[in-house]
Amino acid sequence: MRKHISKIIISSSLSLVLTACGGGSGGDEAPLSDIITLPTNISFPITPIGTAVDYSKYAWSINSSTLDSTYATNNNIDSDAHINMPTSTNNQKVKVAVIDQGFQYNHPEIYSKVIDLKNINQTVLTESYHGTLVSGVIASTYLGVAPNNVELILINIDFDNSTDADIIEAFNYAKDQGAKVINCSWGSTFDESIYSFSQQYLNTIKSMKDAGINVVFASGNEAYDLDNNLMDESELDTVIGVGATSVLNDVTDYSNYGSNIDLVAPGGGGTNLIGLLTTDLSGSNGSNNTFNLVNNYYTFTAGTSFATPTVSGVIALMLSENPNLTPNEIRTILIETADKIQSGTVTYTDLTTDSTTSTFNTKRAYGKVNAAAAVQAAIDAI
Amino acid sequence: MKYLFIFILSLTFSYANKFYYEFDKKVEIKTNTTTKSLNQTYDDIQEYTTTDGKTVKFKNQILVQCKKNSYCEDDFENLNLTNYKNIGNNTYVIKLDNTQDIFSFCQKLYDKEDIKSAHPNYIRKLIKR
Repeated sequence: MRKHISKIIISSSLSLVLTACGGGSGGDEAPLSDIITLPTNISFPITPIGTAVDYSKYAWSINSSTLDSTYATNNNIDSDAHINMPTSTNNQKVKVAVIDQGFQYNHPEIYSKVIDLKNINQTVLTESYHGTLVSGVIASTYLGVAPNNVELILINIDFDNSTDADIIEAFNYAKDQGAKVINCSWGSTFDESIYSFSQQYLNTIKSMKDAGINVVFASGNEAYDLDNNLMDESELDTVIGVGATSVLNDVTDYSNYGSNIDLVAPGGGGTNLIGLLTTDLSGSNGSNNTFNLVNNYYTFTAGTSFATPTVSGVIALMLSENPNLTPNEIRTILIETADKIQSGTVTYTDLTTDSTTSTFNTKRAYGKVNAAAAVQAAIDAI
Repeated sequence: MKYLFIFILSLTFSYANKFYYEFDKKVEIKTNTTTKSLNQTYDDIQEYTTTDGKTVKFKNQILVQCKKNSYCEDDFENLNLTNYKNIGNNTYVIKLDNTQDIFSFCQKLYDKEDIKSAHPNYIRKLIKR
């Protein structure tokens, strides 16, 4: 029985981890109907709803030096749980497409980075939280990995009614709009009783890489060993597959893994552990003021869905420094600069079947993404 | 002997028309596990089992990959298929009405010179992670 990670975590740790799920009260929220029926034909410039607040002192995945000390202590946040952000970045923009369901594109943290919204199979944005949270990890002004380096192309799909054609259209649209990174915080894991990926679907994903586009997929949240007769997009050799780490600077207990997953990155949560802070639906449509730390435009969430845009953001930073890097070069750099987390207690071995000299651990892949090291390697490759 | 021949012939007719090609790979259908309704539209989901035991689900829609630099919209119109959409990279999705048999049109399209692949548009339910 597969369950969404938010349900797993909430059931085991209701007091510690919340996800975007509506509710909340008071304040300057927009009416509910203004949010769940956002039109998909947006006009620019986008008018934001509400005001962004600097909560970076709670952003453990990208920050350590200015983290709130009480918060860090109370939540057992390892001082190395973050991704080691570079000390400075340039302002070169990289187009990042986010294929997902539901975007509150006028959120005050992301509206100014959105350059396009494409609707594939919905006429209104009826369920708006997931894409909003994912986009915040990449581009949020105060919480994002690459807030100054991305232009977001938001591509909305109704996940419950999608077909191969819908997803193919989404990928082709991203390519046609010039995306260099495509973030996919979703998947369609299935077992051998189901007909496999169609060749057309696989060809489309491969064509992205052939066009110089980096496609990043989440590995999933069921603690599955994907080598065990399961098929998943994150295992394709034409994409970068990403698992999730926690505040303990180790892989989470829910993260899917396997020999074809490439990296892990902060995704937050795990049993009794706090989630990763990101943007939420604004106002009363967002979560309540989580732990009395943030207002209801923000939420602590968890899943490989949020590890994935962490890596997508790092790739954007790399490309902003060196736009000539190919997807193969990007993958090699990410792998070879990754931190071998928990290397004192677990073993990383040299795989003879891969093309890299980096070592591998079954659950932690080639290690946790290291943003500063990856960006420096990108610069060195110029 | 005569009855055996009729039985084999009927089996042949039962299965012969339910197949399509994904590029050069032939996919044959063994059983239909959904009942086709009179009011079926191109958005209704059909479920079948292939001869190698896999479950396939798709709408009454065909996903077509045309050859590079070809113009295969003429091929669609020659078959009176007018409800189609270009989804990029010379790929099309064609929506059929409830009188049009998806397997028959997949085969007819696949026989066209400009078309590399024509198969049902599979359902791919996505899971947020």
